[in-house]
Amino acid sequence: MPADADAFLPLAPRDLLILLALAAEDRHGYAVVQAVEAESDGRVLLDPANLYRALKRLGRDGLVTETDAAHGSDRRRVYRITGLGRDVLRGETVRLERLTATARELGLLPASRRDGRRPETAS
Amino acid sequence: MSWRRLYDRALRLAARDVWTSHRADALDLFDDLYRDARRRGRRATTRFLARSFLRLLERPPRPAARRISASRHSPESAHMTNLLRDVHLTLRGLSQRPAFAVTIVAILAVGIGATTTIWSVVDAVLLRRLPYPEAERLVYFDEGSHRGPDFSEWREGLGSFAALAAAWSGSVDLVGGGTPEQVQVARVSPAFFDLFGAGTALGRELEEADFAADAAVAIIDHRLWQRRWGADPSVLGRQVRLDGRPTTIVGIVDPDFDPPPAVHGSKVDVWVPLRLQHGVLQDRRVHVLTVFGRLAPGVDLTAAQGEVDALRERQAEAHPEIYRGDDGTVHRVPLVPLRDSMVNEVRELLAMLLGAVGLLLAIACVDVAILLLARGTQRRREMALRGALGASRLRLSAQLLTESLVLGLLGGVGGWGLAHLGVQLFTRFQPGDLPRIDTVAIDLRVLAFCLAISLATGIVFGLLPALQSARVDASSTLKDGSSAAPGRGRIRGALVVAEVALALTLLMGAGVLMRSLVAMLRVEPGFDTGGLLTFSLTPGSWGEDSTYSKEQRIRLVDELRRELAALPGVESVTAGWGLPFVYTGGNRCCWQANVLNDEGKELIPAIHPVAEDYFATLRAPLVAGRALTRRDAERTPTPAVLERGTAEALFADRSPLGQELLLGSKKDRLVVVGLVDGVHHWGLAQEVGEAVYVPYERFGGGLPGIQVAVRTSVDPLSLVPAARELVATLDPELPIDEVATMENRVGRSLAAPRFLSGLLAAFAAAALFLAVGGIYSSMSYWVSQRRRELGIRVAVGALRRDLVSLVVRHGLLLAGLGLAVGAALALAGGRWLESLVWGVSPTDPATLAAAMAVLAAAAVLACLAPAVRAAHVDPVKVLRAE
Repeated sequence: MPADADAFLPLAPRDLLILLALAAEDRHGYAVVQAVEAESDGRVLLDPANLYRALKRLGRDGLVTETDAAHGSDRRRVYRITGLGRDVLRGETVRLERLTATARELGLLPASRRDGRRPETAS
Repeated sequence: MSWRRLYDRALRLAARDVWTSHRADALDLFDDLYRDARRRGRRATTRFLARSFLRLLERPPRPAARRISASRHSPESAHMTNLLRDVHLTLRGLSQRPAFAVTIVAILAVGIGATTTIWSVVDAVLLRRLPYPEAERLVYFDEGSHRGPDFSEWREGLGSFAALAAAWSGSVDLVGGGTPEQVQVARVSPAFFDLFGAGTALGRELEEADFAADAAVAIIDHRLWQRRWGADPSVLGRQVRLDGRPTTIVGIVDPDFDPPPAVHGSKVDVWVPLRLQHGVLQDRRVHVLTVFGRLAPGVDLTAAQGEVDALRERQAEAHPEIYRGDDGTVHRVPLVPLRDSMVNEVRELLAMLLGAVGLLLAIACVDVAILLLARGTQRRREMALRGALGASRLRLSAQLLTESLVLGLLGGVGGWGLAHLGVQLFTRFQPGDLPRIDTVAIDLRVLAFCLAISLATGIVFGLLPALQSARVDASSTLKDGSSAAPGRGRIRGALVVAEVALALTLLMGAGVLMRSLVAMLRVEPGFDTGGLLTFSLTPGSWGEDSTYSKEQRIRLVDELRRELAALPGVESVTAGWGLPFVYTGGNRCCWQANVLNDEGKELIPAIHPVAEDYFATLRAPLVAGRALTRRDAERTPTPAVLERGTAEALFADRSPLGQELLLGSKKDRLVVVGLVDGVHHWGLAQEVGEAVYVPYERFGGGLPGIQVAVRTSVDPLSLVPAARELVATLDPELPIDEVATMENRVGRSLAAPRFLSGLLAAFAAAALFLAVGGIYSSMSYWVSQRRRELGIRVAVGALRRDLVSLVVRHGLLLAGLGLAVGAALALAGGRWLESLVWGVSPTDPATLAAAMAVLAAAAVLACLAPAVRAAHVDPVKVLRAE
């Protein structure tokens, strides 16, 4: 993966969820909050101040851009993930995968039945 | 102010960066999220608001790119970063579980708030320096009031004192500038104001010339000036009639001046010069002066005491009949540091209050510890995972400790606020015996105390979870399905035992004080206190230059009684000096004189000059003989009525009726014509004491004060206007004062025990509530940890009620241990309450049994909900979760 994407790892959990939300589609703030809440099963609830702090920072670091894509009469800013952002996201998921694989080897992670999937075999 | 605007302001304050660049978007988002939350209900709304506002305080996590440079930071700032990060984590964790956090902070706030309130009072009353110059060198001449000649001789003869001052307090009538009213006057010697560092806000101070016999000046109190003259500065130089004499007002006292309570309970309206040439003050038989002194530089109290004792010996040689008692011992004058004399009586009371509130705080801490432990165990998996992922045990303990400190500080903030309220309530309802109580303030000292307490409590109850987490063994915890912790059960159990023990101690204390109060209320006052109106008059003053002569006073009493009795609704009227419940408690103002019986046996009872119908008006039944009549004043020997106890002390088995007594130094002849039993003059909790009743017209005319009692068949207070009018027609410059029903007076005498038992009852109720909460949460947790075991029991055939009894038994076991420990504590600590209880022992077994029963019942109640939950465990669900 590109060298500068590496520098952003490991991602803060909040940033991870925001990037994930934007990877699906361009969204404005409210939509990001809702997507993050859905993705985390209601556990991560973002407040306005910290959401925009995060978005500002991600924008400054080049992982996210602001567009003024009109959403009808919505004057709100819409956010879009950049190519660098996608690279970073990809890198983070790979890192997490490696981590869970190690944990599974240690026997720390029992099979989870919550999402209905069968316990995975080591790939 | 809408939430949006509030958020806007908060954003601007705490998240400037976002406010400058994304203000509109953030506010719109806030609106949208708020709308969603409202739709979901009140709880969701509260959570959302708490989250939004609290999270403004968070520092954003540092992104990776900048973290590399962070390693250049020094170790100290790394600690700071860790600390801040822990605080941030704590706040975030708390805002995710607001109910839990609020409960804990509330419990701590109550405990810390109560403690801070009591501490403020103790600080103001006991600890703070007296507001006088060189206060540590100020001395009070104890053992009651002193004689005029003593003061003069002390002033001349004592070298140990740099200055000596005396004050003579009383009530006089003030005429001028409004309706005549009775005011509190203090006649003070020249050194008085200097001694206490008091000056005048307006006008001049007392000068040497003022102490000459014919000058008549006065300095008035600031509050009187505002009340009566509307703070008009032209009152200076004006003349009023004080005590019947024309007096010029020359100054207004500094409003900050707070004289020591020995000077008329600190409520002085008018200050006038003390003239030692006054007849009364030349008489060695009269004690009216309170005396203070400042030690000379280099002299200590023992040396001064020695000098006073030596001088007293010389006085005793010159006047043995005055200064020596029956057995030849000289009446000493103990010297007491001024501060001690002010606080000695209340020291024990305040120490007890501090102890009680300390117990409450301890219970609050234990409660919070139980709650935290329960939650801590739930977080074991989280802790274990974090440990496995690289966090050191030290870090984990540090984070838990930080959490406790944050909670402690938040509790301290809440407690600080509650303390403000508490101090207001305390000053409002306190019975009025505490000196300097109106200087109670929440100030820096108290703030420092509050802070220390909150940090200390944070550490105390935070230590346990922190220590526990340090022993967390990662792999076993994560592999193990349940998160039961073996060691924790014991600690939790110990906490419950401690909580119950402490609560029992408080309940016992409250119970004993309440029984004291009940015992006092049951005391028979010896007369009928209902339907009795009382008030006082002060016609004229002491000495020869009084506006009222003896005969005039007697005539006044006669006329007053006749006129008052003619009013509708009046059954009978009496008057005299020394009505019951006028002076209650330890402070007595009475006329004491010695009486001798025919065998030379001597007593020093209180002498009460009373008018006709005294016993009939009070409805104090005579147990022998007859009451006093008007004509008794002219008889010789003068008829007198005795308290039964006094008669027994004087005459033992002989019938007292008809026996003669000699009264006082003049050896006036008295003959006993009647006996009365158990008329309480000084309060329900005070002993009746020795008393002799003599005719007012024979012995009372020389005293400037008269107290009137009116037995009414209607509401006593409805007669007040008529009584006032009546007195005004007899003498328009004579005001009536201290108007109250007898029931009122009796009630006031009980104000202190009522306040104390009420306060302790409040503490005990809070303790009970906390204990129930602690037991409940502990048992809930206990049940939830044993779901598997309970499920198995049900599966193999246990009945619901077996499970219930299992839970309740365990709960009662803990409570029982707590009760046993608590009983031992209560019995041991009983002696601290000894001086504060009355009529019941501080280790009274019946009260202890009742308190234990109440706590046991509460414990059962607390176990019920968890027990019922245990009984409804579904074995299928539990076993399948394996």
